Amino acid sequence: MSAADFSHFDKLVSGYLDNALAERDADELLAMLEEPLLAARFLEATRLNSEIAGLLAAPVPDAAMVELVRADIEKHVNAARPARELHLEVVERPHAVPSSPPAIRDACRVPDRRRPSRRALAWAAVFLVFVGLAAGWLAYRGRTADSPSVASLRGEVRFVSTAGERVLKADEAWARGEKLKTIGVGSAVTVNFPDGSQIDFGSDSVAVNQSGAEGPRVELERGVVRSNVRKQPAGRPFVFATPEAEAIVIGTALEVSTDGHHTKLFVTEGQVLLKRRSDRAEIMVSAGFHVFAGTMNKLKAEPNTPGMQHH
Amino acid sequence: MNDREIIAAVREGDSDAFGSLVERYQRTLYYFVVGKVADDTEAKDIVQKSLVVAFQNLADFRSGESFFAWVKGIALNHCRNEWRRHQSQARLAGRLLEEKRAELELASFDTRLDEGDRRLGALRQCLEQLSPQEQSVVEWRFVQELPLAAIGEQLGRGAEAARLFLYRIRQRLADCVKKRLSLDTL
Repeated sequence: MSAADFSHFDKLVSGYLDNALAERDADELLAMLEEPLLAARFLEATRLNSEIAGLLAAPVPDAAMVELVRADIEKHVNAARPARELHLEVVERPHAVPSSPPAIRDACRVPDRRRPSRRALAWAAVFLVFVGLAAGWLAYRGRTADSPSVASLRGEVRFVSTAGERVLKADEAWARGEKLKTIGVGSAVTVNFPDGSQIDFGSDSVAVNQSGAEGPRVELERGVVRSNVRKQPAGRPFVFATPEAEAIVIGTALEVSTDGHHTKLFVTEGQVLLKRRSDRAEIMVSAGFHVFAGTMNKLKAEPNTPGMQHH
Repeated sequence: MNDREIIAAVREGDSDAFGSLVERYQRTLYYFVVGKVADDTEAKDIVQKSLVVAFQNLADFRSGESFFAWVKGIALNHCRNEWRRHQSQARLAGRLLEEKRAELELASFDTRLDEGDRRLGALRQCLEQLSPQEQSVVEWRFVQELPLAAIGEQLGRGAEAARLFLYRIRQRLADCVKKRLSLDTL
């Protein structure tokens, strides 16, 4: 093979790695990979590509990995345990066990409780109904008072709370502490806040509503959010928090995304203050600029260019 | 405490002691796995899974062996499984190039020379030798994951120019790593 052939092959591989191969080129590359020498060269190039990405990626801090492993181990231990602990045994009250030796008879004995009267049962039922209604009313009040609500959604979107997980429907309120998850390619949800601010979550996003007396606050664990925030009252800014940084918004249009290690913030209107958690570095980002917050990099606002934001 | 003492403590019921082994080896294990799977997120997942499996199977670990070598073996199995998963997914989706890549990766696993730390050390030095502009392009592509069109814009050119630029950077890095590794063996 000539040097020109190798060069052509390497260009195809580089295009493949940048996800920029035309169909015809992909077919050509596939055919060339039948040649063992080129297949080895291809592997070498793909390996180098992964190594560059891996070397430049923010490492998982030791303490965080210890926690992740510990949580997995606990999950495993708990998954193994319930089979024994939750096993229900029906124990019949022995009517008469005269022939059993005393030790066994004691072991079989269930507490000798008196049968509750009908009146007590009726009171208990009334009490339970009352408690249920009160809890329902409180939950309803908590959901609707200042909660944002779902304006529209696409694909699979779920709410996760201490009560469990459920598929989301339009017009539902997003209560404080509830986790919202968009699942799979093409999934999306738009949430409206009572002040008219609107937030769009892209696919495979996970966010928690932590709004409170200090103002609206959305904690984005993963994914991308684009928002149009109404002007906020003094002292109650709208906050988007990611694992690495906080974007403090007074009133603006922006896009925040995170993969759990890096945060990208694009501002299209107004101004946003970005604060990184690890070193408390801050930067004010104006309309038309974006900033990238990794673990260590210098925060620097750079002009937005077409094609940089998610769509 | 050395590895043997920590393992003994874990076996006696002090499961928290395992955290010391995680702290000691997770990063080295990550650099061992990187390059054997398609991206760094997969590598991080495999590190986590391998350490959990190591904990769960600590009873099978033979004292006298190297704990890290044992965990590397577990991680390697996870890498293989990951490529098998890629292969079947690509086959189902009709992505022939991806399927071929997974096939080649799986076939090369047992024959591939593991240069480990030396290779990544060489790559790190080669990355530092790039010009400031090349380093920016590498950051845009590999850290910020910008599309080619956006990289082209940043360079004041188009997507095709960005693609060519990245091709040249990859060539330079590949040559540089090869040269450094061969110098090391002299």
